[in-house]
Amino acid sequence: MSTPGRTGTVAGLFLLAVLVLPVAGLVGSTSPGDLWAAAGTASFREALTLSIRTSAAAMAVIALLGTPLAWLLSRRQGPVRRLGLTLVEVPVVLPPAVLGIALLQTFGRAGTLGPAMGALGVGIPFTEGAVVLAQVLVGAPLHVLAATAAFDAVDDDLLLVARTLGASRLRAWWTVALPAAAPGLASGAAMAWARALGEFGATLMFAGNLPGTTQTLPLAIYSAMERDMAEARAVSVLLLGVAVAVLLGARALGGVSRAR
Amino acid sequence: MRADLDIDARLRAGRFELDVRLSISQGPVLLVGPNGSGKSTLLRALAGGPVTVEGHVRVRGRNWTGTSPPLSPEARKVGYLPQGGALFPHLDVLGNVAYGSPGADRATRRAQARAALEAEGLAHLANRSTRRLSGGERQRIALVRALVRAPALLLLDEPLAALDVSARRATRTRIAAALLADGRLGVAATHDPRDLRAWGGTLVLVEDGRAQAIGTLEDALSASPSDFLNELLSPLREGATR
Repeated sequence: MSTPGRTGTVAGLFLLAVLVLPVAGLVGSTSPGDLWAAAGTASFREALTLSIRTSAAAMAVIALLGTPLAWLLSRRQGPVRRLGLTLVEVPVVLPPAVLGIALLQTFGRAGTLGPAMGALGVGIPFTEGAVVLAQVLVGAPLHVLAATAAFDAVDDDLLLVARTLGASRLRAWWTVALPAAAPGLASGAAMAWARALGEFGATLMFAGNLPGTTQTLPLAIYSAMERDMAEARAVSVLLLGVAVAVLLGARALGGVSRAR
Repeated sequence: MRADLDIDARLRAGRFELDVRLSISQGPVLLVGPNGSGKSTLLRALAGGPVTVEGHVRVRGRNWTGTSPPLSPEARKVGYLPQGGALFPHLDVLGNVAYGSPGADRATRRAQARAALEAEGLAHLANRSTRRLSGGERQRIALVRALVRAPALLLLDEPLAALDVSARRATRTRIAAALLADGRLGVAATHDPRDLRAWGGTLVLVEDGRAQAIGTLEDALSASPSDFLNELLSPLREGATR
């Protein structure tokens, strides 16, 4: 019994090393001077503010629409729930390049909805809106799946007790279901935000790589690689820092609601 | 005489169905029956939970299911204590009781909740997280919460199931008082024959997809129309012959 345990420990530690090593190598390859220089450039600041603005907008859309969807899925059993969850999972299993093509085919000028949107004077591709749409598509499934699991743990009787204590249906949801599921919702939102922040492939194909308009941090790294590898490394470490800050921030929020 | 509880309905929850035909003039009402027979479904239906009711449920002459949608849970003036207590996990003990307190503002509700906990000798738990409570403490706090709006109908689902023997006796007495309070109709599900003796009232057997009134405990002891009931009541019979 102890041999598989030891083998398992070794295997686990090896995987952990594989996961951590590239990150450590990346961080070790830059100096504080490089980071300071990269952080000071106008192109970095432009990409950083764009990344934060678009991923925050994507996160707002995901939380506002994805949380109610997760609640509906968690209260259903059987084929409706299975079908819903499968549809939500589709963007997770699709390669981002396929998503980019799909978005262009749907919203592009020559796409399915192109003529109708052209008539309304709305054009999405290669705008900041396109960046947000791509981020919503890749981030939303992570939030919806985590939120559904969190809501699954909220018993119907909790809500019924709240109703008998005088709460309307909406108030019972707002004051009981939502806070009871808060830790799971926060971690789902953090995963979605991190995924939106790192989104590259679909953004490149559907929104392009226009500095100031659609060039988010991952795309700025891509562009910097063609000019100067040291700058690309430095921007990568800065993006890593932003992503870790988002993750820790969301975890702290979830921890606060758990401790209350 | 007007019946306290008058039900002629088929209850549906998912694929589960229960036929209920009851007319009970005197509370409390004690539900007995095997696990999964539908006692909880019947209590949920009375609380206004997610159970489809085909037919009528009348409580003290008022029809709760005559309208579409049926009377909402918040309009029924019920106190509901589900199995395990269903305390809100994100609120502390005081927050749980204050949630249902009838006061107009937060400070009043919290003061009412504190008074209610004090009256039950539970004030020392007011600021404790619900995760750090014993099974007995959970049930007693859930009972305080269920009573904080002085409900006309009190619904208890196996309120003593999670308690150890020492906590059981005191809580059984407290529940008897809650079930028999003036102007209140109490309905409780239980698996313990000692509860039946302590709480009195009318027995309802829930078994094989049906719920039917049996009468008082004495009626049940002399008639015993079901194997389940015979087995449930056998400790009381042995006690009587000894």
